[in-house]
Amino acid sequence: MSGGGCGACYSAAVNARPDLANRSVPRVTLLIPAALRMHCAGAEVIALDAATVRAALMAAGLRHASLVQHVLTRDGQLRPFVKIFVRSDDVRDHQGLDTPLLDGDRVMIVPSVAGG
Amino acid sequence: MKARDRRLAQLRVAIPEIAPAQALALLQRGAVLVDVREHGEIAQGLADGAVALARDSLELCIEDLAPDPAQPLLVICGSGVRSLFAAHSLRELGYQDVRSVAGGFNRWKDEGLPFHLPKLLDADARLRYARQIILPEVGEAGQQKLLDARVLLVGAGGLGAPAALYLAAAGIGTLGLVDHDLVERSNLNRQVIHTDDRVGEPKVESARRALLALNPAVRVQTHPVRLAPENVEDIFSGYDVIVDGCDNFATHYLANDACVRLGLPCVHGSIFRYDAQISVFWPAAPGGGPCYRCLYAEPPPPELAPSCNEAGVLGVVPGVVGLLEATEALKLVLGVGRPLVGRLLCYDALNLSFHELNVRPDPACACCGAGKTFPGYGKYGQSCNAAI
Repeated sequence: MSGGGCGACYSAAVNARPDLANRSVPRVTLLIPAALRMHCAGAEVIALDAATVRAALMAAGLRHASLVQHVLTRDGQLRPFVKIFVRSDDVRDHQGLDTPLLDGDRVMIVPSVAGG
Repeated sequence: MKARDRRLAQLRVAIPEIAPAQALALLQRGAVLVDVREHGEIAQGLADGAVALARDSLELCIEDLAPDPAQPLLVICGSGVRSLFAAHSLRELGYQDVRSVAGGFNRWKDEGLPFHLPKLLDADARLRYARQIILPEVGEAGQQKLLDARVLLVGAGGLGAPAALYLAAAGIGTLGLVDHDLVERSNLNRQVIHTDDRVGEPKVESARRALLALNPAVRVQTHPVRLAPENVEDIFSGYDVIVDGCDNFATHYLANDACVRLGLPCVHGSIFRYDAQISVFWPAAPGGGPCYRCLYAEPPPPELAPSCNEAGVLGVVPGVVGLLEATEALKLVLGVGRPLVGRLLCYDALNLSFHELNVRPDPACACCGAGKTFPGYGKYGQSCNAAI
């Protein structure tokens, strides 16, 4: 299996960027898959400020409520047919929706699709 | 004395000769035994552990086999004459430890040393697959693996059509097709295995005709049924690799679950408009790997599934994805490269971008999690069952 980040590596990466400590909230990009773009006026990316994956989704939800409804359950859990990746890693392998974000991170929403 | 005999006398002084039994002992200690006889002679028998490398391609190919000039090489032919000439050529290439097997394969066999009758490609196959046989990762041995392989395509549609054509062209020996649909004219913008005059025919029959027209040597097995819990294991158990090119969640999950249960690799492809996902789900892989449910534990309910009926598709997108799936299937059969196990490739055709994402096995996976027993096939529903 290809290598990727682990929780410890991710924390190390955060700690290695003390410059970010001075910035209150990282600027990140949410990448919207084709299957969900109808819920955000066709946008492919949404730029926003968020310190965690959950905060990024909540910020997006302020503008596009139905987008977040397709990603999260009513009680705020990730739906079992949607994945979120940061730095190529499934957030499940880090701190889930509480995974911290760095300035410049790209947060990919990857829902299951079935066409063929 | 003839010039030939004079030359042989010189070579016998220059090249060490060893008895077949000594060669066998050296082979077992790491030497490479190279048989330089012609194709037809090899068909009569090949010493166990020997590599067939015909005299006319010896100098061109030996470095693929033995890149280290310090590698001990043993050369064998029919009677021990041609091997002297071949050994001399290898010396001139820079190999330092080259010996000729005295008496050749004839003596090897007479002395009761182990040999086998190798499966060899016939003349048509050597011509048909010539361009891939010359790839070091394929060779005649790899081509034989392809001919021996059994690959099942789940779906003979947008993904299965291009995959099946290229797998047949590559010489996969047995290709299975499972699909219960009939060819429709609206399929033809992407399902390039079918033709306008076959609209209305069962897809598996239409595909079978196309595959046999391309490569009559392929054995095509058709399964004109809807894949279901009741038949999936009977069908899958006859194959080595499953290529999932279906168009609905229910079948993706069923194919995954059956592959996990049977230990088979499942080459997955799925698309939505210009986006696609490709991976190889294979918990039984050497080193392990995730299954589809490790990635997506459950399918979406119909009300949250992407609306297939409204989606549409540009035919080239499933074409690209189907060929990526075919590539992974060929790699798995050949045992070369790094299969897409534990990685999800996301393809965005509009922006022409590929993202590779890490997918790890989910310890809590209901299907393949450690210590979990197979939960049974259950009900799969029909969330968004329309072909796009």
